[in-house]
Amino acid sequence: MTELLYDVHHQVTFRWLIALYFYFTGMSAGSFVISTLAYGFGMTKFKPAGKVGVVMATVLLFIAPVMLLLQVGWPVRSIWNHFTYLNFHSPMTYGAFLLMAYPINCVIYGYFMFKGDMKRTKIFGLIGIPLAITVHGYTGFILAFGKARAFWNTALMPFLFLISAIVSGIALMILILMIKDRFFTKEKKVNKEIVYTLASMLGWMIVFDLFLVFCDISTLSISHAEAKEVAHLIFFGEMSPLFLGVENLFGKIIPMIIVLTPKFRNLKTIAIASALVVVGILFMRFVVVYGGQVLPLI
Amino acid sequence: MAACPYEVRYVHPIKKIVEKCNWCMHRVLKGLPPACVEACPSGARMFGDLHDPESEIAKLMATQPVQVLKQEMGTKPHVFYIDLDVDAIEIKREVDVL
Repeated sequence: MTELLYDVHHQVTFRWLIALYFYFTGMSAGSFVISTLAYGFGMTKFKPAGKVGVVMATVLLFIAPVMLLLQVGWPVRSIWNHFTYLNFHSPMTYGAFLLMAYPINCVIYGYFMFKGDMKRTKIFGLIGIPLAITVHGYTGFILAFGKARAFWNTALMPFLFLISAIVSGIALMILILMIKDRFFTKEKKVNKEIVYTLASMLGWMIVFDLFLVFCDISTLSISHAEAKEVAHLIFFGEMSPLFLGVENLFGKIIPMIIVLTPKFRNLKTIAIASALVVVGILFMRFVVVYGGQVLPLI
Repeated sequence: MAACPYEVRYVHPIKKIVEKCNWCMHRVLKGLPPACVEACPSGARMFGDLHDPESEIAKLMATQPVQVLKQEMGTKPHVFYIDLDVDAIEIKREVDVL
């Protein structure tokens, strides 16, 4: 009815491509940060994660902008317009520059790491940390600045994105480390120490993530009328199976219990928990991106 | 597109780029009114220059109370409505959604 009143048709423009774009930049930033723990901050127990991390960060950050360009549909035009209509009020402008600078830094950082030049690796690792945080953090700002959408318009959004980025980055890294050790090394044996260290880190990051989600959702369900509509949508509406079931129960709570309970924790269950998290965060991106647009604005 | 509080941006079906109403700029530059203004048989829409105090629209704005949509968004819209019951529409929207 309301659509007829204004003759404006409700449309959802950001769908899977944008969700995937956020997902890939998130995992890239997360794995980069983990890789710098050993090579930037000298925490030697994370050393086995260093090289895997930088390769993951680089590959994921080359896939991510492809999603973005597919969404825009005009790759040449979008690059051209970026410079001709340079807009410093837009987080998308900063994002576009970061998307150019960050992968270059990843490649340089990885090059020195594989060459064994530890001093330069450290320098580019430390330069990369703010780049990794901002290249993913800006996507949170893009949504947070969408002030008409109650689900997006929260100062928590960049934090939510960064923590979920680290969560998904660690989970994917555990899986890749396991596959690499199991199938592509001479010993064919998984490095238990690093996997257990990463798994407990994953568990505590999920706790933090769940706390942020709780802050966000509880505020939404008490706040103004549109925020309450959003809370209703994700608890009882169209998005509830994805939000409650896939994202939070299977994607966060079950893996958290597995990796933080010594009785349940072994290499096999850690692999299952990590796979659940990797899928769960993908749906988290979708729930936020798509769910933010479900309610008509007018 | 996703950020527009009015959801009025769309992908042009032929040019495949994102557009919104530009008051028929191509017509206005030739001295014609926007197509919607010209097409309306009951004259419900009016278009003009608010900077010119002698224009019909400026005179109307000076004598009639007007409202805009979603003033709280701070977008300073220049589409003004006479006799619009914003509250009624807002409540109706809430009933429709839930």
